[in-house]
This record gives sequence, structure tokens and C-alpha cells, in this order.
Amino acid sequence: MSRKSARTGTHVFVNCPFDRQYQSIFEAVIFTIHACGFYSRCALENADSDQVRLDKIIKMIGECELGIHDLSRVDTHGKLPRFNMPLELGLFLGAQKFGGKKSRRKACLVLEGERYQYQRFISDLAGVDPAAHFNQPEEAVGAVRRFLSGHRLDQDVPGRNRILERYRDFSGELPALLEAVEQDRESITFAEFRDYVERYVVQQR
Amino acid sequence: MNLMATDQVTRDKRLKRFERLVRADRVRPEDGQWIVKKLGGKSRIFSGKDEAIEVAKRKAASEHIGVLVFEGGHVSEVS
Repeated sequence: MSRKSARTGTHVFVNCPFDRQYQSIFEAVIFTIHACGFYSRCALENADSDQVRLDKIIKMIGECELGIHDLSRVDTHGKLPRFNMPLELGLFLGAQKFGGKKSRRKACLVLEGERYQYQRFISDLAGVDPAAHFNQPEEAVGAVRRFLSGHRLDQDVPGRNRILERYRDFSGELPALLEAVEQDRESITFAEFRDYVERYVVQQR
Repeated sequence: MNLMATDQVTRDKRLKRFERLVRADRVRPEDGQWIVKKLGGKSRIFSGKDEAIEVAKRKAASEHIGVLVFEGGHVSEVS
């Protein structure tokens, strides 16, 4: 699939934490989305926009047929929970239920850190069947790949081990490639990271 | 707006360069040997670095792509 068709193909809204501890899972999820022939979107992509954050997120949800919502950092065992992820999941489910005909095709994957974690803080999700990633990028890749394979009817998506192997190659080469284009891993934005992922996976196919 | 247009040109140029690097054949050391491999392609193993680079250069020239040597966490382009 060409870059252009990936961008105009099915968009996947990624609703997840953006902290440093989560970065390895986040990057593996983004890579998996592109390796499976989809195009990732997330709230970080136009951080410089002056648009109100919530409006930006609502617009993006409207443009994405699929969603991946990671609730693993919501349950804080007594400290203040982080509500952004459940709020965005609610917006996505609301769009799916109350939107037009096109919105009814929306589908989402809910991720959690450990199995049945969601029952402690968002029991209304019973029946949605979240997938646990145990805070391991490898598990998150497997769950995202399984979800996306059910929505890719025109061609097969690579297997989990193949995606992981490609991701390891990408992660290993990225720092040196960035250095060669006068950039560095610490300062690139999400949109730049996604551009690089997209160009890399196209060559790996 | 002019600044944004300049930024875009720079970004497009950088992406084009990145794309060219990604398409290139790779030469890298592994377990005392030298591997020549293109993304998504098969590996070829050589005992010497120079031989690996020469083979990669010949192959790359016929495909109009570059050769990258990954060593010590850095990458250099050879032609």
C-alpha cells in the first residue's frame, strides 16, 4: 500500500496516556497500526493548533473509523484517576451509537493493563471485552494486530512476530537515521514520528 | 505564513532524505561478520567489511539506491 493510500485509508484514533512510562507501548501500537496498513491519529498530532483541545479530539474521532482506547493508567489505586481516556472512549462510543450511518461502522478496541482491571472503575464496559497488555509492548502489539486484522478485508495483516521483528529493526535503526537527517528521538513530534514510521513500513513490505 | 512555508519545505526535504535512506541497502556488523540486507529483503553474510560494502555498492548501483553502513550506533552513506 502506498503512503498516499495509507493516509486516505482507514484512520485509527489512538486514545492513550502520553507519559514517558507508556512511551514504549505507544510507539509499538503506532508502528503496528501502520504495519497493518492503517493510519494512526491521536490528539498529539496538531499540538501547535490553537483549536480547543476537546473540539480537536471530537473532530478527529469523527474522522476515524476505528479506535484504540487504553485505560491501563486510569486505575490509580487511591490517587486521583485520569479521566481523559474514559472521556474520549465515551465520545467514541457516543459517536458510534448516535452518529449517522457512517458512524455506526465505527469499532474500537479497549486495552487494559491487567485482566478485568476495568471492572474496578468502569464496570459499565462489561460486554466490551477489553484486552490486557500487562504493560508489555509485545502484548499490546498482539492485541492491536488481532483487532485490526478483523477490519482489514482486502489483504492479510502481518503476524505478531513479524510485526515485532520489523518493529525491533525500526527501533534499532531510528536513532542513527534521525541523526542522518539532523533530528533526534527526543525532540521529534508525534506527526514526525508517524511520518518516519509510515515511510519505514512501506519499505518493509 | 512565510515561516510556515519554509518549515514545510524543510520537512519535505528531510522526509525525502529519510525515504532515500530507508530504501538503501544496509551493511552492518553482527557476530563478527558483516551482513548486507535491504529492508524486507534477504541477508547476505560476508567475513570482511570491505567485501560487504563492495557487494552492496554493486547491487545498489544497479537498483539506483544508496548503501548505508551502520556501525557503533551511527550510520554513514557510502557511494
